[in-house]
Amino acid sequence: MTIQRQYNLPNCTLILEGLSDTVTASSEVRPLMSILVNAECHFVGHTNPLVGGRDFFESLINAVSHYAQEFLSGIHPVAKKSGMGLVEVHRLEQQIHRLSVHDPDAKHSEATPPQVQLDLTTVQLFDLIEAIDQFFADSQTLPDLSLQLTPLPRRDVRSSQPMVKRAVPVAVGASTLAAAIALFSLLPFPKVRQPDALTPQAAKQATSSPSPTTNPKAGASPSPTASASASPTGAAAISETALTSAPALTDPVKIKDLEAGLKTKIDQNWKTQPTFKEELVYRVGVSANGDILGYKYVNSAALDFVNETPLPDLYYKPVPGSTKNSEPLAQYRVVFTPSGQLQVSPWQETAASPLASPLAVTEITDPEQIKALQPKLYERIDQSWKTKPTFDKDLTFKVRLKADGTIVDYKPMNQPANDYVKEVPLSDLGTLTSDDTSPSAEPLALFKVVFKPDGKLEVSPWRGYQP
Amino acid sequence: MQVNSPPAQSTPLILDSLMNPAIPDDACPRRTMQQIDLILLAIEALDLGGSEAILAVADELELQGIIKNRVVLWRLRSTNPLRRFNQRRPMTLTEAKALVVIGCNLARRLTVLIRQLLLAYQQLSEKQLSFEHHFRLYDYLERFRSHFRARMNPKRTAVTAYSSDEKLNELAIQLLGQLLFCTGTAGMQRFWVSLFDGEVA
Repeated sequence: MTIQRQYNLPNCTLILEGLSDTVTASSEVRPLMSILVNAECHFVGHTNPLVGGRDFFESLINAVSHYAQEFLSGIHPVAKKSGMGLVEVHRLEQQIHRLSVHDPDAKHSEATPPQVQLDLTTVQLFDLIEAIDQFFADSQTLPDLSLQLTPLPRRDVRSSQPMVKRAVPVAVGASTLAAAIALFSLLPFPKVRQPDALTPQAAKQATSSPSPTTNPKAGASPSPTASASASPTGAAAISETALTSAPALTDPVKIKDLEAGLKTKIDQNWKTQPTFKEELVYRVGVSANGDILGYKYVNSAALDFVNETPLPDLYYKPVPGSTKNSEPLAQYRVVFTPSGQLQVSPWQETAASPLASPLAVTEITDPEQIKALQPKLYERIDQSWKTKPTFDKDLTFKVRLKADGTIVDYKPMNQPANDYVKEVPLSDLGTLTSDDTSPSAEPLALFKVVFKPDGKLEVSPWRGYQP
Repeated sequence: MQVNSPPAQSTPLILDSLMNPAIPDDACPRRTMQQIDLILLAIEALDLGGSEAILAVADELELQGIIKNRVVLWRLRSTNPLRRFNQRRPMTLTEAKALVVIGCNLARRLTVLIRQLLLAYQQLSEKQLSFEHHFRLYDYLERFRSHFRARMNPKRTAVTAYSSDEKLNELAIQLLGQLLFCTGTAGMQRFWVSLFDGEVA
């Protein structure tokens, strides 16, 4: 007995004809249909129904079911399974769906045009799906077919962005990088230059002249602190070139006059109380009419305390563009001592002194000789020091000694020494001098002599003990 | 015997009709949360009292254990990554199921209207007329656009893609078609499964 099942929807009617394989009582209202003979699918507006056997029907429900899922999720599977090619659904436009049915007899391939093509609206497609769903829900019809719904696995999903589109950002990034590399390669490599300040020039100076800054030798060689680039005031820079390039005054009488004039000039203008602890030594250039045309720092203290001296005020600022440089100069060594004394002496004289000459042996530096002289000096001072000290601070003197042990001169090195110079026996042994750099015919040994308030005497080599 | 704690709340039976997809951590993927919110947005655009109806249906289907109140509903819908006030916390599968059941239920009540609007769209497209010629469709599209623009974060790239009226209309029609599919006999299951397309291993 043929059983017919019909699923009616406004736009689609699905008619299934089949048989029951079990012998059932005919009285049963809805006998079980287990064998499908014929399936028909009618669409409103399309005269020819889709007709087929079980293969067609299975393919239809498969294709439609998958397409429904695709429509809902908007995600297309990568590859259509080739086995069920009888019915295919494609999206034509947003709301138009094409249902294609291939001839089951013809060998299915891309080239053969489908037997039937139907363009369905979304509502029509939904009615088809609904008919199929109602068939699935009907347990009395083909119960071996049931709705199988599974989400698409990740590997079957085509990325929403095509390969070319995804490659664009990568390509743009890579080409930008390449362009940047090309551009920057055109730029020159920056040269790594060691900063000059890292190699101390002072060390270089110390090797050429092992004397401290007060030594006239340092004055003879260009002092690093007074170099044009390092000087804090423009005046120093100008004055240095003026000092070196100008011709010298040679008339001895004129030099003597200028020396006296310079001394009074500085003396009158030097009103500040000295705060510096070291002598400030300057090389000063004076023109024939007495103007200070330039001055130069000889030691570092001179640079640091230049504002305590009247030199910047007295400096004659040349009119720009004038030819002051060609004026003949007399050069003087001007020393400001911490005790407030001013010493002015012709530069040539000091510079030409044997002490300043590198060839002359001016100082006894032989450790053995100094070692021998030290106890002698101590003996002599100690024996003649009879008075009880009234001072309460150390008196430090710099004492110059001939090789035979006789004291040439001495110089107070601190303020108490200057104040209590009368209390110590040095005046009997040598002459008091304020210029410990004055030239001497024979080599001298330098010693530091300290008188302590408790009556102790200390004598040590001025340059320290040699190793 | 004294009972110290209330019996553990069993998940409503109605949710069992939806399969459990193989996703890690019981947390819904981004696309799932986005799609659920958009479907509910389309329902709200169709039905003026849509948001009230969502709560009412939650009560009817005995889902008030999951959708407790307006605030919970709002927070659930804000898991949509496109939202202005996007909630970072993920949506659990149970919550997603509840919202899908409610959405499909509401869609089924609106079946007639949905069909009408889709037919109208079809007719207007065939005649190449603008949507203004059908009042009800025009109304839906306009309301959907304003809902979307008011609630979605315009700085998001995915939202800027819908900056024009045409693009938003297209989205609204697409959602209308999806709503129609939800009304079917197996529509709820189909919709639920489609939410995890490409998300399971």
